[in-house]
Amino acid sequence: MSAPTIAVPLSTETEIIGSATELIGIGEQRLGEVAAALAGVLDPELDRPITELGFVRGITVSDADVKVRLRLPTYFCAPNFAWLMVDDCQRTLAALPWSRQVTVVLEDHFAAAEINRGVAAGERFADAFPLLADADGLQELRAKFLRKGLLAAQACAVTRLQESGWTDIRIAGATLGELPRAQAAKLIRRRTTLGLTAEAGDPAFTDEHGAPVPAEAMRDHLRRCRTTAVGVSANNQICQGLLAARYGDGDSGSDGEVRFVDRPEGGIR
Amino acid sequence: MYSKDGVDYFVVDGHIHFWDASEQNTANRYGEGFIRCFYDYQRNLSPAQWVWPLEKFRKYSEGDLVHDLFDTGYVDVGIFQPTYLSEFYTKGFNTTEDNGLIAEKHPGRLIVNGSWDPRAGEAGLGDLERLADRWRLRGVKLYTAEWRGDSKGWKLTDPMAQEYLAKCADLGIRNIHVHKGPTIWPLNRDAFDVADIDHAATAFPELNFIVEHSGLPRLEDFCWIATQEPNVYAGLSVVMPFIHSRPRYFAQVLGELLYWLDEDRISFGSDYAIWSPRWLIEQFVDFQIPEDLQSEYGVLTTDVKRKILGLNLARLYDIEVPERARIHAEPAAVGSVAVGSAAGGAGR
Repeated sequence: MSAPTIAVPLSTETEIIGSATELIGIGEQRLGEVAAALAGVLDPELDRPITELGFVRGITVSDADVKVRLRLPTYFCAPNFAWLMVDDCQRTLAALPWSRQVTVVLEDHFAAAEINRGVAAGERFADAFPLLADADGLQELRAKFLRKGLLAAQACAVTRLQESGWTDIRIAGATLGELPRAQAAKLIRRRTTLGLTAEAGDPAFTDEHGAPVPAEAMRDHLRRCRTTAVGVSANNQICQGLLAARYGDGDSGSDGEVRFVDRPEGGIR
Repeated sequence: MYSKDGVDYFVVDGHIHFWDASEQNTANRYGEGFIRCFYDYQRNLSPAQWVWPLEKFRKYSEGDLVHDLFDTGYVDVGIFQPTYLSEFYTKGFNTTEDNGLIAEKHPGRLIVNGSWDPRAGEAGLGDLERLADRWRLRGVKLYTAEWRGDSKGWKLTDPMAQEYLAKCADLGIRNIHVHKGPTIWPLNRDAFDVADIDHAATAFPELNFIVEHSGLPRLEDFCWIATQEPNVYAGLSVVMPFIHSRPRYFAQVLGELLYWLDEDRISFGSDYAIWSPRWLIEQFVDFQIPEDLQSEYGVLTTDVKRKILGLNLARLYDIEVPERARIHAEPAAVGSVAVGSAAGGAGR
């Protein structure tokens, strides 16, 4: 995707429209802090920062108030993941020492009203969708995709090791401490996020719960890791393509709005 | 039939629609959002000359369908997969009844599938019987993300769904196409989770479960299930158009499917009118796994392509395949496709 346009009006209210990744180099400290904070929010399903994915449509910093607008690839993107992203944005921006009022607005989504209202009110997901959600499923959902991320990362590490001439046997027996620093760091970060140990002597390639994989099962395990990586990559491709189709590359937000021909509710069925 | 370099490819398009998302039929913002989402899929993954104006995309004609499938699209047999979406579209989005009106004008060329929803309860079982009788159903399309009143979806593991699957077995409806969509209940679980297909496939070994989009966006979960359940198939709708703009990803996804499922359980579907079969088929027949991925995934042979484009679905739906498009060298693999020829034609 090409770079979105950026507009920084020379007024006391600083407003930026476009991807937050474009903020680097702009000498607005608070905007920079907002962008950095948002870069720490991942799409749990795609396992990438929302800033890289182009989901941040606009940031407005007005004194100590922050407003962030988010957009997603489709009108029907799963509401649970949408909630997690809006909620994570809200929390990370509220944690900035100077921030006062934080408003995160999800746009163009079938459940935007419930999500925006629920997150703003500090509700739990299940409260925002009465009768439609379990009480505690959301954290397990997040963990499930973090575990997929760990498997996919192992597949990437294997590719790099093979390129460096590592044999299958050496890979199968590798510990975190034996891996090149860059590969080890990625696995350590993911294991730590999942609450798993990440010592130098730990096996590098484990199941999604951190358990060692027996030598005879390693080949199958690494195939599973690879399939997971292919799946996550394919999803990224679809979502990025859909986002671009929906809003256009480099869209400034002016004509990306979906206009609905809403009918009276009585017209249904 | 598509022919290239002396090879005939019998084409069964396992996933086609005849929908109406005209403004007149669109009931609310959900229906509007749904068709816009479909349209973004077309715009995202199609060659530019295959992108329609939105107005045509919302409601195309019977003539368009016949032209795009049969006149120019190489399709020998198309299989309608209904999607009712009754909460979004006043007269339904894409119904068995509307599909059937076209199919009756093209005997032998179009197969009409039905649909059911376990939330219709006991009464729905009777409706399914009548639908099966009226259209001589051989398959159904299940859309687990369909909204119904306060409910936002269902699962194949729901107790009532078991009764419907048993009814399908009774009625000789062997092919169960499953489409995973978003917003399934409960909303905070993974909307695309395919675990319920594992359960159903084990409980009903006499039925074939064709998972549309090959389980995407849960490719990996689908692959584990399909490896263990011999009656689970991958439908390539949505996957196939990757071939144009993202050929490397197409190679990887197809490579994974071939590794976990084998070539007899992967089937072509254009998802018409999101994509048109002509360019998909032409590009697929010309396609090869990129060289640097061949050590991982091998190569696509002509016979693998023939199976995927038509022979596998012809087997599931008992479709007669012309002699020249059959594969005779591997009677064990596709013998039942070439009905009557597997024994006599072996070794030819």
